[in-house]
Amino acid sequence: MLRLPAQAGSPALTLGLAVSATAWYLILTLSGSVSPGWEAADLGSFRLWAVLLLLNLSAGAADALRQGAQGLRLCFCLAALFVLFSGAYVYLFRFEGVVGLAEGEAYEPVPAMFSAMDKGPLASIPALSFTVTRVDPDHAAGRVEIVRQGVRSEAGTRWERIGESDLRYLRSRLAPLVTVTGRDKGELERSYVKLDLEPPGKEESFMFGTLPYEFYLRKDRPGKAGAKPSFHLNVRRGKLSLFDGPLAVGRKAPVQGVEVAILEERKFAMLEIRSRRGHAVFMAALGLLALVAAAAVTVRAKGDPRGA
Amino acid sequence: MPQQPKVQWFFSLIFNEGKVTLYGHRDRPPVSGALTTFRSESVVLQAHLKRHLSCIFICLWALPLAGLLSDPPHFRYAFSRVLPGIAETGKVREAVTDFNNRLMDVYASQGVKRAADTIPATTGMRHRLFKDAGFLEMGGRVLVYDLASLEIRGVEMGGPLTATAVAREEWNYQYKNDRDWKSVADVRGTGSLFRYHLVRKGGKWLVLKYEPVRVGGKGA
Repeated sequence: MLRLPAQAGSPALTLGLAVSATAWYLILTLSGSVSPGWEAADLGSFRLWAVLLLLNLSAGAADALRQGAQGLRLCFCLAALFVLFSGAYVYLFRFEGVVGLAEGEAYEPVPAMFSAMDKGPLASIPALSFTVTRVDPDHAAGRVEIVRQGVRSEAGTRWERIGESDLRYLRSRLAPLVTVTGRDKGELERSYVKLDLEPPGKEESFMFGTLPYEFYLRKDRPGKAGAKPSFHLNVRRGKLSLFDGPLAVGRKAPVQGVEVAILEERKFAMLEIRSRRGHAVFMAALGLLALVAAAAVTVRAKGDPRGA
Repeated sequence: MPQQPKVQWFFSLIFNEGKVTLYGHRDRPPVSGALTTFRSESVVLQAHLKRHLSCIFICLWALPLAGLLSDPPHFRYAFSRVLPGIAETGKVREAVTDFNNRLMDVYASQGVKRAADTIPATTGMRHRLFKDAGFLEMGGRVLVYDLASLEIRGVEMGGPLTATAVAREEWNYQYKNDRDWKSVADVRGTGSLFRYHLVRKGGKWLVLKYEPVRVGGKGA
């Protein structure tokens, strides 16, 4: 029983756990089973390995303390534990999301605002407060002007710090204003639909909560310079196609007693928002571990002057 | 218990004319040979080799074993890249077929909960079907679907939890009055290619959404 901490905290076991976790992370990533980053930490097997590593390193640190004259091993165990804890903190509180905001639209920290989101189990949506006042599309160098607490600032394609989060401009698109009008009931729906229809020919679908139809929209290739953009609309209900044809801006398409029209387009920007709490500490922990590991290799290579 | 004598291994990496050679020496450090171009290569790693290698070997096999118990889709998907036979394409095909068979019940029953609950679809998709049947009921109509033919053309696994299937379908449909089930229109037929997006949830493949496929291009 007295030898148990020494066995449980053996460097060989540390090496085995670390090598197997790294090797299988690479295998799963290369096979496309998990995407690079923190997704592997969602798997039960990797969480189990993290717990085993935690126990192994704790036992190793305790063993080094008990035996004395093993300062380097103690430092290594503590640095590795620091990496584990700071990594767990980053994983639990990370947030990344993409939000589409039109000119004049204010950001709201609600899930429905985001078109894509990846967050840790304990993370919340960043509670930012800003309004997009101008979208300046310029491909690689595009930017948005935002107003935050009365202060005007710009965000480009590089990360800008806003409160405890970061924000950057991804791209801008044009949101068509789609209206659906009933014969007897007047206007049933009127919304700017934020779709990514670039390049021309790319198709996206959308639905309105109050209607049973699915709308598939794509932009036709631009004709003469200055001509109004032209769309292709396919309206479906279940397995049935109800309308499939071109739809110019301002024209109406009749569908089962209602009329669908696109009246205009409005610029909107796709913004990426992220929150990386504890990331700097995690990187520092990794650096510290690398330093301790380098020191350990150097001492081993040159031989411990104390003969330990 | 007698203490086993410690065996130490010394390794040296020899760099010579662009080639790297690894030499192992038991119990004594290597002596630099004539081929060595510089002296700093002498001892790179000193370890209890057998013990370390056994630990690495056991851990390397233990992790996928734990993974097959706790995260079977991810590890099965990784292994299916070299063993295509273990991919879940058969289950995806079954889910698409079952979805279309049960879709007829959902519409015929005007979206009763029992029919909607049995269909292999996500909550969002079930809600969509339920809503459509409800809209028809509000208009005093029942849409009777009849699946004439279903041919699944291909299944592509997008990852351990996502898959796409393309199917050629032919449907007959007829609108009926919801009170007496008298026909209010003729029986019509439609045939299309559909792309199904499926997700794996709770050990089952569920239809997330389906969309028409335009021949010769992506989308409708």
